Amino acid sequence: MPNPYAQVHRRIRAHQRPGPTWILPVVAAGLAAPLARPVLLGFLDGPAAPETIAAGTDAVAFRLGALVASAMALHTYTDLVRGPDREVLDVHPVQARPLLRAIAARTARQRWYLPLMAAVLVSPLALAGHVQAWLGLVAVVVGAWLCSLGVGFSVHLGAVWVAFSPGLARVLDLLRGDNPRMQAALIYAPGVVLAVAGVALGVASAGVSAALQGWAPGWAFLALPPLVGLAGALVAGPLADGFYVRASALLAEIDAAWAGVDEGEEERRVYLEWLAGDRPELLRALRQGWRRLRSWPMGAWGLGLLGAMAGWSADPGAASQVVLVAGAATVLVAAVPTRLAEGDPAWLDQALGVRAGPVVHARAAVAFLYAQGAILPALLALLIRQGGAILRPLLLLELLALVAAFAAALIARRLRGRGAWAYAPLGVLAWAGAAFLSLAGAPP
Amino acid sequence: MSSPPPPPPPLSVEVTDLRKEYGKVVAVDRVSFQLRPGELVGLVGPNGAGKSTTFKMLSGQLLPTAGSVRVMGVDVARDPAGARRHLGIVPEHPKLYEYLSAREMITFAAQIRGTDPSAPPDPARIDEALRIAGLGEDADRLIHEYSQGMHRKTALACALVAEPPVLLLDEALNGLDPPSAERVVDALAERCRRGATVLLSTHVLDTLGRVADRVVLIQKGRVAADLPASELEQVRAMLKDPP
Repeated sequence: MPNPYAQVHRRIRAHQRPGPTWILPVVAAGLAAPLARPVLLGFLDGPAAPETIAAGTDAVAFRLGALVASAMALHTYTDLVRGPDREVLDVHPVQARPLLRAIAARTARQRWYLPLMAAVLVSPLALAGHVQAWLGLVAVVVGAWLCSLGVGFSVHLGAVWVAFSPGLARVLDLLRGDNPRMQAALIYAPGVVLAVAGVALGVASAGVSAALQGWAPGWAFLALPPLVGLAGALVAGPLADGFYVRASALLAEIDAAWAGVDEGEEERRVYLEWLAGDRPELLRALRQGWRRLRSWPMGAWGLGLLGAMAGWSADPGAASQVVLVAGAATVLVAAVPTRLAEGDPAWLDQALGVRAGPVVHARAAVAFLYAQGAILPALLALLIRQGGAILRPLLLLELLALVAAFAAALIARRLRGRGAWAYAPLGVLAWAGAAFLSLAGAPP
Repeated sequence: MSSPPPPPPPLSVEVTDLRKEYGKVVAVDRVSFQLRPGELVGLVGPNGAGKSTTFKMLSGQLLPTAGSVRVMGVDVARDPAGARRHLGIVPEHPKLYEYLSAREMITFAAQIRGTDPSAPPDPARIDEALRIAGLGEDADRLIHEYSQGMHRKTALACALVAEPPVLLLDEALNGLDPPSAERVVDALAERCRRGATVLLSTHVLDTLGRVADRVVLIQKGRVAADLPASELEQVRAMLKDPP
């Protein structure tokens, strides 16, 4: 029986003609593979004992699987809860199950390349002759992807049920911090997806490790993540019947609560406006960046704190750890120009006569400034613990911030919001390059 | 012996003591009114009076802080999906699939409102909705190429195409060219004659004077007047000089 929602998604795709968006990320993973080898597959440089390969494969499979599961936890949230269908369908009667199937199919179609990226990134493992270990690792990552796809939709719909449940209001009050009560359930949902997927893929990667050491039944553990995903998918249907439509009112409540908070904070906000001087493009980018996208710099600064924790060490390898973590935060926040471009419509720029050059500089400057919040605390920690050893990571990180911010701003000038797709592989590549240079210069 | 008077027709929409608070701000305060089958009622009021907030609570897009809304007997807050089966809605800022043509969007709207969503809807219905909205020549262009007025026309056609028993139209005539607005208003009046209920929010009181049965005036979140359309001049005066 034809699914009208899936038919519409197909028609939209036919009109949009989006092209093969997976090619760039996969090619970037291919280019990053040799650079990331010392970081991800350092165990290949040790003795080629089965135990070493098994333990290394286990660790990398778990981490890459968790990374893919995290990405899918967020993608399932974005596509189901805040996705483009909701605002259109909000005024129509919705048959939730066929809609859910259509959304799940679209999410799978748009994100199928994530396990492929992981497979390409760890391809040096196969090239080193450990094909069985590589296949096991890829199977764990594919399982994590399937698991988080199925579990993601059910957990996000379950979160809507929790948000509306009067019996759980007290629990949400305990968890919510400064957030509106109803948001508490949604905030923690991606973490729940990751936790469920993490347990399943932990078992699967341990099974692969055991199988690589000769215990053949270990391969059977690979079935666990897809089975958990299947169970999640089966639960999602009935949950969608009850809670897909109701989520709209929930989101309206949350947005209204935040709008109230924003108005209250308006006078206390810091936009770094004093930096703009007589440059209106920079003033706009600073205001838009903070008012609309502040979760980006705040998330990156949170990662920067992790970098500071890594830097607070007398270990000679701490500088490389700082570059890895603060570098990831830098590349993340440097994507801000593409998000800024999404919020600045082309017709408005044309109507206002905005010049493209200053806009590129302004967006890059904002991203570069935000990156400092991730870089400087980590370097400060390193400076306190190791003194003069910070020069190399300082240069690497600032160069990375500069290159990534300008690359994102230039891409955003051409592709506007869609530039994120082009920036992502370049950012990953730049980060892998910085990590490689940092490790190359690290003391043995 | 005379027979007892016929019972009043059942209510299409029943709004009871509706209240919406945003923190300390009360956007809608104890709003109550009823709509019966065949009625076309205008909802008027100055900007920020609470009309759109009321509309959103009527359609289940917003939860009331207190009070209730029933559409064809269905409690909207408890069962928004069930209530929406009876509703055709045009919000203040309509959202559409930008990469569909108007014909495809309206066909989809008709399809998901039908008893069998997998069955293709009657093309004659789609053509009729396109004609009423005045989209005939542009029906096969992609919506992202449309003006704001054409967006609204498409949203109107989506709401009208499946002939729902209740139509909630929030500023739905804004931005429409006069002939299209005229055609839409005539179509709404015709739907009411066939038993549908229409709640139309607008700033154009003359339109209401022509087709509405009643006018509900909202000021500062409250119902300031609920009068027959014949007393539109009183509403006009109240809008000019709020109490």
